[in-house]
Amino acid sequence: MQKISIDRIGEKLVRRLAGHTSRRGILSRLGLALAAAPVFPVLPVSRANAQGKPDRGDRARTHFTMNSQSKDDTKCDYWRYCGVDGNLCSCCGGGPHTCPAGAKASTTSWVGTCVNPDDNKTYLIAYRDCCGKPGCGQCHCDNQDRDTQLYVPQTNNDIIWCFGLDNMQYHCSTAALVGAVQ
Amino acid sequence: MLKSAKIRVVAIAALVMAPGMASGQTNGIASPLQHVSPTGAVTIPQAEVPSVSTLDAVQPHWVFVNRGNGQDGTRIFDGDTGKMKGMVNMYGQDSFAFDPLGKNFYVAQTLWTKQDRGTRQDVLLAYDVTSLKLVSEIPIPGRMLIGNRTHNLVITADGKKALIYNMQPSSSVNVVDLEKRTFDSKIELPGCATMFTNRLNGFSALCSNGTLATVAMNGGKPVITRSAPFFNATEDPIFDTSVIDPKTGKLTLVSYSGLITPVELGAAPKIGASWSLQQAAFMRKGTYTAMDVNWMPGGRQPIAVHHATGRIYVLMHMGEYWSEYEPALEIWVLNGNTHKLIQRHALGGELKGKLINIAVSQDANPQVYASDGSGNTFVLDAQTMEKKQKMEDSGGGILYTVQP
Repeated sequence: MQKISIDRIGEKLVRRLAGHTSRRGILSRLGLALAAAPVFPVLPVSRANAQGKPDRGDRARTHFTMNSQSKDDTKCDYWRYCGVDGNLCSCCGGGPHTCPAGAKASTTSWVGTCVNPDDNKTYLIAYRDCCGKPGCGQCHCDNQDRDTQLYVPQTNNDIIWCFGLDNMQYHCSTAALVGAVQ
Repeated sequence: MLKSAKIRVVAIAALVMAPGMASGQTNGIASPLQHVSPTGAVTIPQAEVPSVSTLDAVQPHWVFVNRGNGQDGTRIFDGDTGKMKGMVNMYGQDSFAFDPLGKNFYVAQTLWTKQDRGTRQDVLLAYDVTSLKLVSEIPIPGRMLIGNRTHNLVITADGKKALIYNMQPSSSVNVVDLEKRTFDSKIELPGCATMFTNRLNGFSALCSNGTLATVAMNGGKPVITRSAPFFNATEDPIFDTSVIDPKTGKLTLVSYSGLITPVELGAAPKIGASWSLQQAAFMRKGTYTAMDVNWMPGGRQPIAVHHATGRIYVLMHMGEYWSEYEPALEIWVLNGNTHKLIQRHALGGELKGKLINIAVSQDANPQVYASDGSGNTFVLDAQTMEKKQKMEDSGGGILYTVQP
Protein backbone atom coordinates (compact mmCIF):
# COMPACT_ATOMS: atom_id res chain seq x y z
CA MET A 1 0.00 0.00 0.00
CA GLN A 2 2.74 2.37 0.92
CA LYS A 3 4.58 1.76 -2.35
CA ILE A 4 1.48 2.52 -4.35
CA SER A 5 1.03 5.73 -2.44
CA ILE A 6 4.58 6.86 -3.12
CA ASP A 7 4.16 5.97 -6.75
CA ARG A 8 1.07 8.12 -7.05
CA ILE A 9 2.78 11.02 -5.41
CA GLY A 10 5.69 10.59 -7.76
CA GLU A 11 3.48 10.41 -10.79
CA LYS A 12 1.65 13.53 -9.76
CA LEU A 13 4.87 15.41 -9.29
CA VAL A 14 6.32 14.25 -12.58
CA ARG A 15 3.17 15.04 -14.51
CA ARG A 16 3.11 18.50 -13.03
CA LEU A 17 6.74 18.82 -13.99
CA ALA A 18 6.11 17.80 -17.58
CA GLY A 19 2.93 19.74 -17.99
CA HIS A 20 4.63 22.99 -17.18
CA THR A 21 7.97 22.47 -18.90
CA SER A 22 7.44 24.35 -22.10
CA ARG A 23 4.33 26.33 -21.37
CA ARG A 24 4.94 28.50 -18.41
CA GLY A 25 8.45 27.89 -17.28
CA ILE A 26 7.38 27.50 -13.69
CA LEU A 27 9.39 24.35 -13.70
CA SER A 28 12.53 26.26 -13.51
CA ARG A 29 12.08 26.34 -9.79
CA LEU A 30 14.88 24.25 -8.55
CA GLY A 31 13.18 22.95 -5.49
CA LEU A 32 10.39 21.25 -7.38
CA ALA A 33 12.75 19.50 -9.73
CA LEU A 34 14.99 18.32 -6.97
CA ALA A 35 12.02 17.04 -5.08
CA ALA A 36 10.86 15.14 -8.13
CA ALA A 37 14.23 13.73 -9.13
CA PRO A 38 14.56 11.05 -6.43
CA VAL A 39 11.10 9.82 -7.31
CA PHE A 40 12.01 8.78 -10.86
CA PRO A 41 13.67 5.50 -9.87
CA VAL A 42 10.53 4.22 -8.14
CA LEU A 43 8.27 4.79 -11.10
CA PRO A 44 7.38 1.42 -12.66
CA VAL A 45 8.70 0.61 -16.07
CA SER A 46 5.16 -0.14 -17.19
CA ARG A 47 4.62 3.58 -17.17
CA ALA A 48 6.38 3.46 -20.51
CA ASN A 49 3.31 1.83 -21.93
CA ALA A 50 1.00 4.57 -20.80
CA GLN A 51 -1.47 5.69 -23.41
CA GLY A 52 -0.19 8.71 -25.26
CA LYS A 53 -1.95 11.94 -24.54
CA PRO A 54 -2.62 14.66 -27.09
CA ASP A 55 0.60 16.38 -27.97
CA ARG A 56 1.22 20.00 -27.24
CA GLY A 57 1.12 21.41 -30.71
CA ASP A 58 3.76 23.46 -32.41
CA ARG A 59 6.00 23.75 -29.37
CA ALA A 60 6.83 20.09 -29.86
CA ARG A 61 7.85 20.57 -33.49
CA THR A 62 11.57 20.91 -33.16
CA HIS A 63 14.11 20.17 -35.83
CA PHE A 64 15.04 17.05 -33.89
CA THR A 65 11.46 15.88 -33.58
CA MET A 66 10.77 16.31 -37.27
CA ASN A 67 13.73 14.06 -38.08
CA SER A 68 13.73 11.49 -35.28
CA GLN A 69 13.25 7.72 -35.57
CA SER A 70 12.09 4.96 -33.24
CA LYS A 71 13.96 1.90 -34.53
CA ASP A 72 17.59 2.24 -33.53
CA ASP A 73 18.48 3.34 -29.99
CA THR A 74 22.18 3.45 -30.82
CA LYS A 75 21.70 6.49 -33.05
CA CYS A 76 21.60 10.11 -31.94
CA ASP A 77 18.31 10.69 -33.75
CA TYR A 78 16.46 8.04 -31.72
CA TRP A 79 13.41 9.91 -30.49
CA ARG A 80 14.08 9.65 -26.75
CA TYR A 81 17.42 11.37 -27.15
CA CYS A 82 15.98 14.81 -27.96
CA GLY A 83 17.73 16.34 -24.95
CA VAL A 84 20.68 14.02 -24.42
CA ASP A 85 24.29 15.12 -24.23
CA GLY A 86 26.90 12.43 -23.83
CA ASN A 87 27.70 8.87 -24.78
CA LEU A 88 24.72 6.61 -25.36
CA CYS A 89 24.71 3.70 -22.93
CA SER A 90 23.11 1.65 -25.72
CA CYS A 91 26.50 1.80 -27.45
CA CYS A 92 28.48 1.01 -24.30
CA GLY A 93 27.13 -2.39 -23.31
CA GLY A 94 23.94 -1.11 -21.72
CA GLY A 95 20.62 0.05 -23.08
CA PRO A 96 18.39 3.11 -23.24
CA HIS A 97 17.46 2.60 -19.59
CA THR A 98 20.22 0.21 -18.52
CA CYS A 99 23.72 1.01 -17.33
CA PRO A 100 26.61 -1.08 -18.68
CA ALA A 101 28.11 -3.73 -16.43
CA GLY A 102 30.08 -2.33 -13.52
CA ALA A 103 28.68 1.17 -13.83
CA LYS A 104 26.48 2.75 -11.20
CA ALA A 105 23.14 4.32 -12.03
CA SER A 106 22.65 7.83 -10.72
CA THR A 107 19.65 8.35 -8.49
CA THR A 108 19.01 11.75 -10.07
CA SER A 109 18.40 12.84 -13.63
CA TRP A 110 17.74 15.74 -15.91
CA VAL A 111 14.55 15.62 -17.89
CA GLY A 112 13.43 16.07 -21.45
CA THR A 113 10.12 16.07 -23.24
CA CYS A 114 10.38 14.22 -26.55
CA VAL A 115 7.88 13.28 -29.24
CA ASN A 116 7.51 9.63 -30.20
CA PRO A 117 7.19 9.53 -34.00
CA ASP A 118 5.13 6.33 -33.80
CA ASP A 119 2.18 7.97 -32.05
CA ASN A 120 3.14 11.64 -32.34
CA LYS A 121 2.70 12.07 -28.60
CA THR A 122 4.98 13.79 -26.15
CA TYR A 123 6.65 11.82 -23.38
CA LEU A 124 8.70 12.70 -20.36
CA ILE A 125 12.20 11.25 -20.48
CA ALA A 126 14.53 10.92 -17.49
CA TYR A 127 18.17 11.15 -18.57
CA ARG A 128 20.10 9.32 -15.92
CA ASP A 129 23.87 9.11 -16.10
CA CYS A 130 25.78 5.90 -15.47
CA CYS A 131 28.87 6.60 -13.46
CA GLY A 132 31.99 5.24 -11.79
CA LYS A 133 33.85 4.24 -14.94
CA PRO A 134 35.87 6.22 -17.48
CA GLY A 135 33.90 7.94 -20.22
CA CYS A 136 32.56 5.31 -22.63
CA GLY A 137 33.55 7.32 -25.68
CA GLN A 138 31.04 5.63 -27.98
CA CYS A 139 28.12 7.26 -29.80
CA HIS A 140 28.51 10.80 -28.53
CA CYS A 141 25.39 12.89 -29.06
CA ASP A 142 24.70 16.51 -28.17
CA ASN A 143 21.01 17.15 -28.76
CA GLN A 144 19.60 20.38 -27.48
CA ASP A 145 15.81 20.31 -27.30
CA ARG A 146 14.76 22.41 -24.30
CA ASP A 147 18.29 22.42 -22.96
CA THR A 148 18.57 25.26 -20.49
CA GLN A 149 21.50 26.92 -18.80
CA LEU A 150 23.02 26.17 -15.44
CA TYR A 151 20.55 28.25 -13.44
CA VAL A 152 17.81 25.86 -14.59
CA PRO A 153 19.72 22.67 -13.80
CA GLN A 154 16.92 20.15 -14.12
CA THR A 155 16.92 20.57 -17.90
CA ASN A 156 20.63 21.20 -18.36
CA ASN A 157 22.46 18.37 -20.06
CA ASP A 158 26.03 19.51 -19.39
CA ILE A 159 25.92 18.80 -15.67
CA ILE A 160 27.49 15.55 -14.50
CA TRP A 161 24.35 13.88 -13.22
CA CYS A 162 26.02 11.42 -10.88
CA PHE A 163 24.69 12.91 -7.67
CA GLY A 164 24.21 10.52 -4.79
CA LEU A 165 26.99 8.15 -5.82
CA ASP A 166 30.34 7.66 -4.18
CA ASN A 167 32.03 8.46 -7.46
CA MET A 168 30.96 11.02 -10.04
CA GLN A 169 33.08 9.81 -12.94
CA TYR A 170 30.81 10.06 -15.99
CA HIS A 171 30.51 6.92 -18.14
CA CYS A 172 27.38 7.22 -20.32
CA SER A 173 23.76 8.43 -20.40
CA THR A 174 20.48 6.56 -20.44
CA ALA A 175 17.08 7.85 -21.52
CA ALA A 176 14.36 6.15 -19.51
CA LEU A 177 10.78 6.71 -20.56
CA VAL A 178 8.79 7.99 -17.60
CA GLY A 179 5.36 8.56 -19.04
CA ALA A 180 3.17 10.53 -21.37
CA VAL A 181 2.90 14.26 -20.91
CA GLN A 182 -0.58 15.46 -20.14
CA MET B 1 88.19 6.61 3.97
CA LEU B 2 89.24 9.91 2.50
CA LYS B 3 90.69 8.28 -0.60
CA SER B 4 87.61 6.17 -1.19
CA ALA B 5 85.42 9.22 -0.74
CA LYS B 6 87.37 11.08 -3.42
CA ILE B 7 87.04 8.16 -5.77
CA ARG B 8 83.34 8.12 -5.12
CA VAL B 9 83.03 11.85 -5.90
CA VAL B 10 84.90 11.46 -9.17
CA ALA B 11 82.77 8.48 -10.11
CA ILE B 12 79.56 10.37 -9.37
CA ALA B 13 80.77 13.39 -11.35
CA ALA B 14 81.52 11.14 -14.31
CA LEU B 15 78.06 9.64 -14.12
CA VAL B 16 76.47 13.07 -13.98
CA MET B 17 78.45 14.26 -16.97
CA ALA B 18 77.89 11.09 -18.96
CA PRO B 19 74.37 11.73 -20.23
CA GLY B 20 75.27 15.14 -21.53
CA MET B 21 78.36 13.90 -23.31
CA ALA B 22 76.64 10.85 -24.63
CA SER B 23 73.78 12.91 -25.97
CA GLY B 24 76.31 15.09 -27.73
CA GLN B 25 77.43 12.07 -29.70
CA THR B 26 74.14 10.42 -30.38
CA ASN B 27 71.52 13.14 -30.74
CA GLY B 28 72.81 14.81 -33.84
CA ILE B 29 75.11 17.26 -32.06
CA ALA B 30 78.40 17.53 -33.84
CA SER B 31 81.43 15.98 -32.24
CA PRO B 32 84.13 18.31 -30.86
CA LEU B 33 86.26 17.70 -33.93
CA GLN B 34 83.64 19.33 -36.12
CA HIS B 35 83.71 22.54 -34.11
CA VAL B 36 86.85 24.05 -35.48
CA SER B 37 87.15 27.80 -35.32
CA PRO B 38 88.88 29.86 -38.06
CA THR B 39 91.97 29.96 -35.89
CA GLY B 40 92.02 26.22 -35.69
CA ALA B 41 91.00 26.05 -32.05
CA VAL B 42 88.55 23.32 -31.20
CA THR B 43 85.33 24.41 -29.48
CA ILE B 44 83.97 21.78 -27.16
CA PRO B 45 80.17 21.87 -26.50
CA GLN B 46 79.41 22.45 -22.87
CA ALA B 47 77.36 19.94 -20.95
CA GLU B 48 73.85 21.24 -20.45
CA VAL B 49 72.16 21.52 -17.12
CA PRO B 50 68.45 20.69 -17.02
CA SER B 51 66.36 23.76 -16.29
CA VAL B 52 62.74 24.86 -16.01
CA SER B 53 61.34 27.84 -17.85
CA THR B 54 59.20 30.61 -16.44
CA LEU B 55 56.48 32.69 -18.02
CA ASP B 56 56.84 36.33 -18.97
CA ALA B 57 54.26 38.73 -17.61
CA VAL B 58 50.86 37.88 -19.03
CA GLN B 59 50.33 39.74 -22.30
CA PRO B 60 47.07 41.10 -23.75
CA HIS B 61 47.52 38.93 -26.84
CA TRP B 62 47.78 35.72 -24.89
CA VAL B 63 44.76 33.45 -25.15
CA PHE B 64 44.06 30.79 -22.54
CA VAL B 65 42.39 27.72 -24.06
CA ASN B 66 40.52 25.64 -21.54
CA ARG B 67 40.75 21.86 -21.55
CA GLY B 68 38.63 19.84 -23.93
CA ASN B 69 38.75 17.61 -26.98
CA GLY B 70 40.40 14.96 -24.82
CA GLN B 71 43.23 17.29 -23.87
CA ASP B 72 43.75 18.21 -20.24
CA GLY B 73 45.25 21.51 -19.10
CA THR B 74 44.61 25.12 -20.01
CA ARG B 75 47.08 25.98 -22.74
CA ILE B 76 48.44 29.47 -23.06
CA PHE B 77 49.15 30.70 -26.61
CA ASP B 78 50.70 33.90 -27.88
CA GLY B 79 48.25 35.19 -30.47
CA ASP B 80 50.98 37.11 -32.28
CA THR B 81 53.14 34.06 -32.95
CA GLY B 82 50.71 31.18 -32.49
CA LYS B 83 53.25 29.58 -30.17
CA MET B 84 52.38 27.88 -26.92
CA LYS B 85 53.76 29.61 -23.85
CA GLY B 86 52.80 27.17 -21.14
CA MET B 87 50.01 25.28 -19.43
CA VAL B 88 47.99 25.55 -16.25
CA ASN B 89 47.21 22.13 -14.77
CA MET B 90 43.53 21.26 -15.17
CA TYR B 91 41.60 18.03 -15.51
CA GLY B 92 38.04 16.81 -15.93
CA GLN B 93 35.50 19.43 -15.01
CA ASP B 94 37.96 21.82 -13.34
CA SER B 95 37.19 25.55 -13.45
CA PHE B 96 39.64 28.37 -14.19
CA ALA B 97 39.83 32.03 -13.16
CA PHE B 98 42.24 34.95 -13.36
CA ASP B 99 43.36 36.82 -10.27
CA PRO B 100 42.35 40.52 -10.40
CA LEU B 101 45.61 41.21 -8.55
CA GLY B 102 47.59 39.44 -11.27
CA LYS B 103 49.47 37.09 -8.95
CA ASN B 104 47.81 33.75 -9.50
CA PHE B 105 45.85 31.56 -11.83
CA TYR B 106 43.09 29.86 -9.87
CA VAL B 107 41.71 26.39 -10.51
CA ALA B 108 38.81 24.72 -8.72
CA GLN B 109 39.39 21.01 -8.86
CA THR B 110 37.77 17.74 -7.84
CA LEU B 111 39.57 14.45 -7.51
CA TRP B 112 39.32 11.13 -5.74
CA THR B 113 42.02 9.50 -3.65
CA LYS B 114 42.01 6.39 -5.83
CA GLN B 115 41.24 8.03 -9.18
CA ASP B 116 37.83 6.46 -9.83
CA ARG B 117 37.01 5.63 -6.22
CA GLY B 118 38.00 6.53 -2.72
CA THR B 119 37.47 9.82 -0.96
CA ARG B 120 36.33 12.83 -2.96
CA GLN B 121 38.48 15.91 -2.55
CA ASP B 122 37.45 19.39 -3.69
CA VAL B 123 40.13 22.05 -3.64
CA LEU B 124 40.92 25.54 -4.82
CA LEU B 125 44.42 25.68 -6.29
CA ALA B 126 46.50 28.81 -6.78
CA TYR B 127 49.30 28.73 -9.34
CA ASP B 128 51.96 31.41 -9.54
CA VAL B 129 51.58 33.33 -12.82
CA THR B 130 55.30 33.29 -13.52
CA SER B 131 56.56 29.92 -12.35
CA LEU B 132 53.20 28.15 -12.81
CA LYS B 133 54.05 26.32 -9.61
CA LEU B 134 51.32 25.40 -7.18
CA VAL B 135 51.51 27.87 -4.32
CA SER B 136 48.34 27.08 -2.43
CA GLU B 137 45.84 24.25 -2.08
CA ILE B 138 42.71 25.07 -0.12
CA PRO B 139 40.14 22.36 0.68
CA ILE B 140 36.53 23.31 -0.02
CA PRO B 141 33.36 21.41 0.88
CA GLY B 142 32.29 20.81 -2.70
CA ARG B 143 31.79 22.24 -6.15
CA MET B 144 29.61 21.62 -9.16
CA LEU B 145 30.97 19.25 -11.77
CA ILE B 146 30.46 20.75 -15.21
CA GLY B 147 32.87 21.80 -17.88
CA ASN B 148 33.16 24.88 -20.06
CA ARG B 149 31.59 27.50 -17.83
CA THR B 150 33.15 30.91 -17.35
CA HIS B 151 31.31 31.92 -14.20
CA ASN B 152 31.50 28.94 -11.85
CA LEU B 153 34.77 30.08 -10.30
CA VAL B 154 35.11 33.85 -9.94
CA ILE B 155 37.26 36.14 -7.82
CA THR B 156 35.89 39.24 -6.12
CA ALA B 157 37.05 42.60 -7.43
CA ASP B 158 39.49 43.13 -4.55
CA GLY B 159 41.07 39.73 -5.17
CA LYS B 160 40.37 38.63 -1.61
CA LYS B 161 37.61 36.07 -2.05
CA ALA B 162 37.10 33.17 -4.41
CA LEU B 163 33.53 32.15 -5.15
CA ILE B 164 33.01 28.55 -6.21
CA TYR B 165 29.60 27.43 -7.40
CA ASN B 166 28.31 24.25 -5.83
CA MET B 167 25.37 21.94 -6.40
CA GLN B 168 25.13 18.82 -4.26
CA PRO B 169 22.37 18.94 -5.36
CA SER B 170 21.07 22.16 -3.75
CA SER B 171 22.62 25.36 -5.12
CA SER B 172 25.15 27.27 -3.04
CA VAL B 173 28.37 29.24 -3.30
CA ASN B 174 31.48 28.26 -1.37
CA VAL B 175 33.54 31.29 -0.38
CA VAL B 176 37.30 31.01 0.09
CA ASP B 177 39.34 33.65 1.93
CA LEU B 178 42.36 34.07 -0.35
CA GLU B 179 44.33 36.05 2.22
CA LYS B 180 43.96 33.48 4.98
CA ARG B 181 44.01 30.67 2.45
CA THR B 182 41.07 28.97 4.09
CA PHE B 183 37.47 28.10 3.36
CA ASP B 184 35.37 30.96 4.65
CA SER B 185 31.66 30.28 4.35
CA LYS B 186 28.83 28.83 2.34
CA ILE B 187 26.10 30.99 0.83
CA GLU B 188 22.83 29.26 0.01
CA LEU B 189 21.64 30.44 -3.40
CA PRO B 190 18.59 28.37 -4.38
CA GLY B 191 17.56 28.54 -7.99
CA CYS B 192 20.47 30.69 -9.12
CA ALA B 193 23.86 30.15 -10.77
CA THR B 194 26.34 31.86 -13.11
CA MET B 195 28.14 34.38 -10.92
CA PHE B 196 29.24 37.85 -12.04
CA THR B 197 31.34 39.85 -9.59
CA ASN B 198 30.57 43.51 -9.03
CA ARG B 199 32.71 46.44 -7.96
CA LEU B 200 31.48 46.15 -4.37
CA ASN B 201 33.25 42.83 -3.81
CA GLY B 202 29.95 41.01 -4.00
CA PHE B 203 28.31 39.33 -6.95
CA SER B 204 25.12 38.79 -8.89
CA ALA B 205 23.75 35.56 -10.35
CA LEU B 206 21.13 34.59 -12.91
CA CYS B 207 18.09 32.80 -11.51
CA SER B 208 15.57 30.32 -12.83
CA ASN B 209 12.66 32.70 -12.22
CA GLY B 210 14.15 35.22 -14.64
CA THR B 211 15.62 37.50 -12.00
CA LEU B 212 19.11 38.59 -11.06
CA ALA B 213 20.07 37.84 -7.45
CA THR B 214 22.64 40.15 -5.89
CA VAL B 215 24.69 39.07 -2.90
CA ALA B 216 26.25 41.77 -0.71
CA MET B 217 29.30 40.49 1.19
CA ASN B 218 30.32 43.17 3.61
CA GLY B 219 31.82 41.04 6.32
CA GLY B 220 28.59 40.10 8.07
CA LYS B 221 25.95 37.70 6.96
CA PRO B 222 25.51 37.89 3.18
CA VAL B 223 22.42 39.80 2.13
CA ILE B 224 20.61 38.58 -0.98
CA THR B 225 18.30 40.82 -2.98
CA ARG B 226 16.55 40.05 -6.24
CA SER B 227 15.64 42.12 -9.27
CA ALA B 228 12.29 42.02 -10.96
CA PRO B 229 12.03 39.27 -13.59
CA PHE B 230 13.51 40.40 -16.90
CA PHE B 231 14.01 37.22 -18.92
CA ASN B 232 12.43 33.84 -19.45
CA ALA B 233 14.81 31.19 -18.17
CA THR B 234 13.14 28.27 -19.93
CA GLU B 235 11.70 29.78 -23.12
CA ASP B 236 14.53 32.15 -24.06
CA PRO B 237 17.44 31.47 -21.70
CA ILE B 238 20.44 33.77 -21.35
CA PHE B 239 23.71 32.04 -22.17
CA ASP B 240 25.65 31.52 -18.97
CA THR B 241 28.86 32.33 -20.83
CA SER B 242 27.68 35.94 -21.23
CA VAL B 243 30.30 38.58 -20.58
CA ILE B 244 31.18 40.80 -17.61
CA ASP B 245 33.62 43.71 -17.64
CA PRO B 246 35.20 43.25 -14.20
CA LYS B 247 36.60 46.78 -14.24
CA THR B 248 33.24 48.48 -14.56
CA GLY B 249 30.74 45.82 -13.57
CA LYS B 250 29.01 46.18 -16.92
CA LEU B 251 27.34 42.96 -17.93
CA THR B 252 26.40 42.04 -21.50
CA LEU B 253 23.85 39.24 -21.58
CA VAL B 254 22.80 37.41 -24.74
CA SER B 255 19.79 35.12 -25.02
CA TYR B 256 19.10 32.13 -27.27
CA SER B 257 16.85 34.23 -29.50
CA GLY B 258 19.40 37.02 -29.89
CA LEU B 259 18.34 39.57 -27.30
CA ILE B 260 21.14 41.61 -25.77
CA THR B 261 20.48 42.90 -22.27
CA PRO B 262 22.97 45.35 -20.73
CA VAL B 263 23.21 45.41 -16.95
CA GLU B 264 25.19 47.67 -14.65
CA LEU B 265 26.00 45.58 -11.62
CA GLY B 266 26.00 47.13 -8.18
CA ALA B 267 24.08 47.08 -4.92
CA ALA B 268 20.92 47.41 -7.02
CA PRO B 269 21.73 46.32 -10.58
CA LYS B 270 20.44 48.56 -13.35
CA ILE B 271 18.94 46.30 -15.99
CA GLY B 272 18.83 48.06 -19.33
CA ALA B 273 16.35 47.62 -22.13
CA SER B 274 16.92 44.54 -24.25
CA TRP B 275 17.67 44.98 -27.93
CA SER B 276 17.69 42.54 -30.81
CA LEU B 277 20.80 41.44 -32.69
CA GLN B 278 18.68 40.73 -35.75
CA GLN B 279 16.94 44.10 -35.70
CA ALA B 280 20.32 45.78 -35.43
CA ALA B 281 21.08 44.01 -38.70
CA PHE B 282 17.81 45.27 -40.26
CA MET B 283 16.09 41.91 -39.97
CA ARG B 284 13.04 40.80 -38.09
CA LYS B 285 13.55 40.16 -34.43
CA GLY B 286 14.52 36.63 -33.47
CA THR B 287 11.70 34.61 -32.01
CA TYR B 288 12.02 31.38 -30.18
CA THR B 289 9.20 29.47 -31.75
CA ALA B 290 8.87 26.29 -33.76
CA MET B 291 10.18 26.14 -37.32
CA ASP B 292 10.94 29.85 -37.38
CA VAL B 293 14.34 29.97 -39.02
CA ASN B 294 16.41 33.07 -38.47
CA TRP B 295 19.94 34.15 -37.70
CA MET B 296 20.64 33.12 -34.11
CA PRO B 297 23.57 33.37 -31.72
CA GLY B 298 25.10 30.00 -31.04
CA GLY B 299 27.98 28.04 -29.60
CA ARG B 300 29.31 27.29 -26.16
CA GLN B 301 30.81 30.75 -25.80
CA PRO B 302 28.92 32.75 -28.42
CA ILE B 303 29.73 36.32 -27.41
CA ALA B 304 32.80 38.45 -26.74
CA VAL B 305 32.98 42.13 -25.81
CA HIS B 306 35.82 44.59 -26.24
CA HIS B 307 35.11 46.62 -23.15
CA ALA B 308 36.94 49.84 -24.01
CA THR B 309 35.07 50.33 -27.29
CA GLY B 310 31.87 48.47 -26.48
CA ARG B 311 32.24 46.33 -29.59
CA ILE B 312 30.35 43.06 -29.42
CA TYR B 313 31.40 40.00 -31.41
CA VAL B 314 28.78 37.25 -31.80
CA LEU B 315 28.91 33.82 -33.39
CA MET B 316 25.80 33.57 -35.59
CA HIS B 317 24.17 30.70 -37.46
CA MET B 318 20.93 30.09 -39.33
CA GLY B 319 18.69 28.08 -37.09
CA GLU B 320 15.49 27.79 -35.15
CA TYR B 321 14.87 27.39 -31.49
CA TRP B 322 16.97 24.87 -29.57
CA SER B 323 19.87 25.37 -31.96
CA GLU B 324 21.79 27.33 -29.35
CA TYR B 325 25.00 25.32 -29.61
CA GLU B 326 25.21 25.25 -33.40
CA PRO B 327 28.54 26.45 -34.81
CA ALA B 328 28.77 29.77 -36.60
CA LEU B 329 28.38 30.67 -40.24
CA GLU B 330 29.13 34.34 -39.59
CA ILE B 331 30.66 36.61 -36.97
CA TRP B 332 28.63 39.74 -36.36
CA VAL B 333 30.28 42.85 -34.97
CA LEU B 334 28.03 45.38 -33.27
CA ASN B 335 28.39 48.60 -31.33
CA GLY B 336 27.07 47.84 -27.87
CA ASN B 337 26.61 51.52 -27.10
CA THR B 338 24.58 52.48 -30.17
CA HIS B 339 23.08 49.02 -30.81
CA LYS B 340 24.14 49.30 -34.44
CA LEU B 341 25.56 46.57 -36.62
CA ILE B 342 29.10 47.36 -37.70
CA GLN B 343 29.74 44.40 -39.95
CA ARG B 344 28.78 40.84 -40.77
CA HIS B 345 31.70 38.57 -41.58
CA ALA B 346 30.88 35.38 -43.47
CA LEU B 347 33.15 32.56 -42.39
CA GLY B 348 34.81 30.53 -45.11
CA GLY B 349 37.10 27.57 -45.50
CA GLU B 350 37.90 25.70 -42.33
CA LEU B 351 36.14 28.36 -40.24
CA LYS B 352 32.72 27.91 -41.85
CA GLY B 353 30.24 26.08 -39.67
CA LYS B 354 32.90 25.18 -37.13
CA LEU B 355 33.39 27.91 -34.54
CA ILE B 356 31.67 27.56 -31.14
CA ASN B 357 33.83 29.73 -28.85
CA ILE B 358 34.87 33.35 -29.27
CA ALA B 359 36.91 35.83 -27.22
CA VAL B 360 38.65 39.13 -27.85
CA SER B 361 41.78 40.69 -26.39
CA GLN B 362 41.25 43.86 -24.39
CA ASP B 363 44.09 46.03 -25.68
CA ALA B 364 43.90 48.94 -28.11
CA ASN B 365 44.87 46.70 -31.03
CA PRO B 366 42.56 43.78 -30.37
CA GLN B 367 42.70 40.26 -31.72
CA VAL B 368 39.73 37.92 -31.93
CA TYR B 369 40.17 34.31 -30.88
CA ALA B 370 37.80 31.57 -31.90
CA SER B 371 37.85 27.80 -31.60
CA ASP B 372 35.98 24.82 -33.01
CA GLY B 373 35.86 22.58 -29.95
CA SER B 374 37.88 19.99 -31.83
CA GLY B 375 41.28 21.26 -30.88
CA ASN B 376 41.73 24.14 -33.34
CA THR B 377 41.98 27.71 -32.06
CA PHE B 378 42.26 30.57 -34.54
CA VAL B 379 43.55 34.11 -34.21
CA LEU B 380 41.55 36.54 -36.33
CA ASP B 381 42.09 40.16 -37.22
CA ALA B 382 39.46 42.07 -35.23
CA GLN B 383 38.70 44.37 -38.16
CA THR B 384 38.66 42.01 -41.11
CA MET B 385 38.28 38.60 -39.40
CA GLU B 386 41.17 37.47 -41.56
CA LYS B 387 42.80 34.36 -40.16
CA LYS B 388 46.20 35.21 -38.71
CA GLN B 389 47.16 32.11 -36.79
CA LYS B 390 45.95 28.57 -36.33
CA MET B 391 46.84 26.60 -33.23
CA GLU B 392 46.15 22.88 -33.61
CA ASP B 393 45.67 20.47 -30.70
CA SER B 394 45.13 23.48 -28.51
CA GLY B 395 42.33 22.04 -26.35
CA GLY B 396 38.67 22.38 -27.05
CA GLY B 397 37.21 24.46 -24.28
CA ILE B 398 36.33 28.00 -23.28
CA LEU B 399 38.69 30.83 -24.25
CA TYR B 400 39.97 33.40 -21.77
CA THR B 401 41.78 36.66 -22.34
CA VAL B 402 43.36 38.69 -19.60
CA GLN B 403 41.56 41.82 -18.48
CA PRO B 404 43.45 45.15 -18.65
